[in-house]
Amino acid sequence: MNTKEYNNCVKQHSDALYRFAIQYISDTAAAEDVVQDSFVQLWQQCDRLTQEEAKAYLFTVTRNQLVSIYRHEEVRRRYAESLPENDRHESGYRQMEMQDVLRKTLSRIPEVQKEVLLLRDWEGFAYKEIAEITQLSEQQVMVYLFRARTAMRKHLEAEGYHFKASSLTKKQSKDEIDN
Amino acid sequence: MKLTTENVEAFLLLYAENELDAATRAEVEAFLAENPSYKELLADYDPAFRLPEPPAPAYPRKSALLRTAVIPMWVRWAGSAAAVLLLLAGTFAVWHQVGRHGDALDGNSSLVAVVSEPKDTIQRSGTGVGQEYPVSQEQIQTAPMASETMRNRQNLSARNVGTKQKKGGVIIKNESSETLLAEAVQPMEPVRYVQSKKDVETVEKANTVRLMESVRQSDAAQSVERLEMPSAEQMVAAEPVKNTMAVEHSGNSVKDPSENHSANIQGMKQPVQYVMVYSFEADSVPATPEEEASFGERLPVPENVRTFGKFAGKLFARTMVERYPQANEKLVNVYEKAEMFAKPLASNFLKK
Repeated sequence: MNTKEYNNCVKQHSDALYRFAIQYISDTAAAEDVVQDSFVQLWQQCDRLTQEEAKAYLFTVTRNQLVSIYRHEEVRRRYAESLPENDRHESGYRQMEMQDVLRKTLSRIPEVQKEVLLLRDWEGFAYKEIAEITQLSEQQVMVYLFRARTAMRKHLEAEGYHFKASSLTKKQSKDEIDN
Repeated sequence: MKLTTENVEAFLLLYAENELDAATRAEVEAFLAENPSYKELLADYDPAFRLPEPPAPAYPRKSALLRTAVIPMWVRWAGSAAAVLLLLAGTFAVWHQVGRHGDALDGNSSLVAVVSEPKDTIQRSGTGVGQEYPVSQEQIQTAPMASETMRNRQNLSARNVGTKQKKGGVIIKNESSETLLAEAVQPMEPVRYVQSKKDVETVEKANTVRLMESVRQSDAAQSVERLEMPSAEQMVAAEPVKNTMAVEHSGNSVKDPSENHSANIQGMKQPVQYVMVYSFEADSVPATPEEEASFGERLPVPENVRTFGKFAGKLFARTMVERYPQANEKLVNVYEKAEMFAKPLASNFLKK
C-alpha cells in the first residue's frame, strides 16, 4: 500500500472507526487517540497490507485497543456505581437523541454481541471477517448476531421506539395522542 | 455444520435471513417441529431489523493522519552524490580535454550551450529550457566558474568533452552531436506548508527532481521499434524499469500513461522510453492541512521521483566509482543497487 492508498484509507475509514470507538468508550478524546493509534499501526504495516485488507486490519487493531480500555472503564464504572445516588450526574435521558438511545440500549447487551452487531450492521463486514476481527468462530458470530438483533429490537421498543422501513421512530404515548 | 441446540441460533439467523439452501432449510424446519420452543425464538427475530445507523461523526483529527509524501533520504543523498560526482566528472573532462588537445575551448563553432531557466527549477514548455544554442566565445569567457553555479544544479552529458560554466547553465561541447543527457536538481529539505515565497521556492527545489531530456528528437528515434511502455503504476511497482526513465513534466499530472516518447540517448543501443511524470509546482503545494487532505488525490509523486533518483544518482555513482576506485565506500553501495537500471548506460558510457 503506498502513501496515496494509505491516505484513501484515512478518508474512507476514519469516521467509521471513530463511530465504532465511541460506542465503546465515553471519552471522545480517548476514542480519537485509539483511532489515531490504529492508523499509525496501519502506516507501519503499509508494506505488507493492501488497501483492501486495510479496513479489517484497522477494525481489528481498534477493537483490541478498545477491549483493553473498556476493561479499565468497567472498573471505573463499578466504582462510580458504588457511590451514593446524589453523587452521580443526571443522565438526562428524556432529552436524548437517537444516538444517545442507541448508546444506551447498546450498553444493555453483552460487549461481544454489540461488537458483532456494529461490525455487521454498520460496517457491513462478512461473518468470516467479523470472526477474524473478534477472534470468534463464524458460528459464534452468527449466534451473537441473532441474539444482539433480537435484544436490541426489544430494548428499543421498550424505550418507545419502533423500527420500520430501515428507520427508527418514536412511538407516541397515549397521553401525547390524547393531547 | 451440524444443527444442534448449541448452534441453533446461527441456523435460525440464516433461516430468517433466507441464506440457507433448500436442504438445510428443510433440516431447520424439521428441528423446529421437534423443538417448538425455538419457534418463539425465531418469532422474536425480525429479519427486517438492522441496527439504525446514525451518521458517522467526522473524525476530528483526519488531516493529521494524512501522510505527505516526502523524498526519501537516499534520493536526497543520491542527488547530492550526483552533484558532487558530476562536478568531478566535469572537472576531469575539462582537464582531460585541455590536456589532450589544448584548444577545446578556443571558439570553435561546434560549442553549444544548454540554457537553464534562472532561479526557476520548473521546466515549462515553450521557454526554450533544455534546448541548445550556439554560444559565442565572448559568452564563454565571461561565464563564472563551474563551482559557482553547480552546487544545486548539474548538467550531465554522456560525452561531454569540454565544459565551461555559463550563468544559469552549463556549456557543453560534444564531439559528434549536441546532446545533453540529463539535468538534476538537488533535492532539499521539504516544507510541509507554504507560508511564504521563500517556502514556495524551497518546496519547488525540494520536490523537483527532474531529468531534463534534451536529446534531439531525430528521425532515427522514430524509426526504431519502440519499447513497451509501462503505466505509471507499473513504474511505481517495478522501478527502476529497464530502459525507462522518468522525465519531469511541467503540467499537473501524468495525464495519459499512453503518452509515451522515445529518444536516442548516447550510449544506448535502443531509444530510451520516457514518461512524463508529475512534478510539484508552487501552486500545488498544500497551504493548509485542509488542502493537504485533498492532496492524496494526486498521483504518487515520490515514487516517480524515486525512479529518477535511482536512475541519475546511482548511474553516476557507479560511473564515478568505476573511474575512481578510491571513491567513498558508500558510493559502492549505491552503485551495486543501481545495477539494474544504470548498468547498460554506465557501461556504454565508459566504453566511449
